[in-house]
Amino acid sequence: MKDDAQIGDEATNSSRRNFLKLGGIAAATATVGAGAGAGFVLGRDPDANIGWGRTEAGKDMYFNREAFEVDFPPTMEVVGQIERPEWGDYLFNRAFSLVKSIKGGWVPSEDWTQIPDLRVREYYAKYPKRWEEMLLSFSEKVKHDNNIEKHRDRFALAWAYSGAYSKGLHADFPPEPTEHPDVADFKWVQREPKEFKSPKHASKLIKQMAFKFGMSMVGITKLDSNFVFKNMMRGMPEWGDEIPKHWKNIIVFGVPMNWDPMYAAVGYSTSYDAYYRAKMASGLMAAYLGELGYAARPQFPGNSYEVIMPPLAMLAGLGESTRNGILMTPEVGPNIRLAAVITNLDLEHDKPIDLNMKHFCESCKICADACPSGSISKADKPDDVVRGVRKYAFNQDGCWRFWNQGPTPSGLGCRVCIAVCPYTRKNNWIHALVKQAEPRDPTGVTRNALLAMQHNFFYYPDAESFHPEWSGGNFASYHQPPEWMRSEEYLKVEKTWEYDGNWEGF
Amino acid sequence: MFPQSTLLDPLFWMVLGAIQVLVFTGANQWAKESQLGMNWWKWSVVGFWWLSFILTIAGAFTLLGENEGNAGWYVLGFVGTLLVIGGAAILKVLVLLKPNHP
Repeated sequence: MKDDAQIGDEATNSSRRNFLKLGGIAAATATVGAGAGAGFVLGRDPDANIGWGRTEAGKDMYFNREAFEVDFPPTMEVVGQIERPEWGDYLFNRAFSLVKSIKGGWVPSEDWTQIPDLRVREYYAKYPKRWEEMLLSFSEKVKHDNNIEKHRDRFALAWAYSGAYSKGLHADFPPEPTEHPDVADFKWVQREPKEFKSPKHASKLIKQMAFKFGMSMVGITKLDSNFVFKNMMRGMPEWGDEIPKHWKNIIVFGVPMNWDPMYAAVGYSTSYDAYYRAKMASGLMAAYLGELGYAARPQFPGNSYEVIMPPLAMLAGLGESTRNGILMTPEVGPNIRLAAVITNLDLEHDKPIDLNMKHFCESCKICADACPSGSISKADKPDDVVRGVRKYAFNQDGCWRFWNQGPTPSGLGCRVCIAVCPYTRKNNWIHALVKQAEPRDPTGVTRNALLAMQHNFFYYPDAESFHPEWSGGNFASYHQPPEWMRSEEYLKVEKTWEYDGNWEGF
Repeated sequence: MFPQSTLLDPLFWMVLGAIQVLVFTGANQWAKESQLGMNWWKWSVVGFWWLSFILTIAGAFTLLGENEGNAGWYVLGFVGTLLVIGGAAILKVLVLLKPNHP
């Protein structure tokens, strides 16, 4: 016979066991719910918006590049004599020259040999097929101008956002140089040069300042003359191929475009937000160097450069070259807008990096499939040689043609290839994990698994859908616009449209 | 769970960590009553499965949260299904390896 105490103990033990069993089930259920809830809000977390969150502490540039440093960037494969870029190689130079000629009475035709500006003519002599695209851009711009205002109800808030940054972008800081660089670059200098303890100290400080001036990424390299334009020098009506002697080093920095508008390209996005911030930082950095007694030559968007930025950014260890021809960083992918300051200050240089992006781009092709103008090569390997460097063929005139169709007031820009790139992902835990794992996997298994998911699980609108309605599309975007850009949420407008793009899925 | 919240976010993670004690104590009780004869490697397999399961759910919902609706549901459906099947297989193995299994 059990006494009362034994019965009591058994009842207590049974109760304890039941508590543990049922409590365990309840705790497991709560954990599943907490995992889902925490995951969802981490996806929403604004702290993942690199460049628009924890910039000042330098924590946007979270990827430790040291393990991946190499002597020469693997995506800058030199296969011949590197040639410096010509004035006519720069798209905006050609476009502005052609517009000037048209305003002067010239009527463009299919015959590129009639182009008045010799420098533009020389470019199309090299790429005659691209003239068709440039020619089309004029008629597309007319269509754009005839249709754009009909869609203001839908895009009013996006245009206002872009317009605000555009006004800031076009302010006169930093001022454009108006004299010889031997004079203009030293106008920043306020005092005698203060000597640094070492180039290493100088670089460390300058990088911190780039972050404090609002930049997310920064790298430093020697100014490689191969990437300095010939026949171009702001402030000088005539220029040959000389490079000012005081142009020793270049500090390259950048910031991503605001994430949610960028994902909603074409119509809800422009580059002006990042352009504005990068431009201001270049001015601030030039002024800072000047205060310490050093010459400075800011290079900034939209159009104020003497150098080609992406290869210099690669040499400065910021990232690698991509299929779509722009810089791809480990942190923000190609969602980066660059500016720079050339200086005579002695600085320690960063090294280029090898993150296997070459192989990633070979397998991916998502940008090429999504490109609304078909300007990005779909070849398996780099299929062109540009000025001595092997790269993927890219039709910049075709890209420009689509810019002129975009449903933004200026009709300038597209950004679809940036939005859809699998590397253009916010800094949340899943993407950070993947970005850390992929470059460390020599077998390519991680890359192939990730790309299989990208190709099969993610939704990408058709290339044609990105077009405006007046040229056969439906204003699709990779993501639907954020709530603060939806005019129907705030303005007295009648919503007559449906969004085509990724959304939260509920 | 509460980004940008000074108090709630760290508290949430502490509580979530604490309730994992209850999850595994409860699992231990179930295992004892089922006489599964758990040892270190069996617990490692179960722990790894549990971590994978929770991370898959969290990952899928992170995708949903960042407006990758398609990808979120596909990851949940595809990887989640594989994990449920994997979990059933682990349970079957644990039952087969019971010390006094006939």
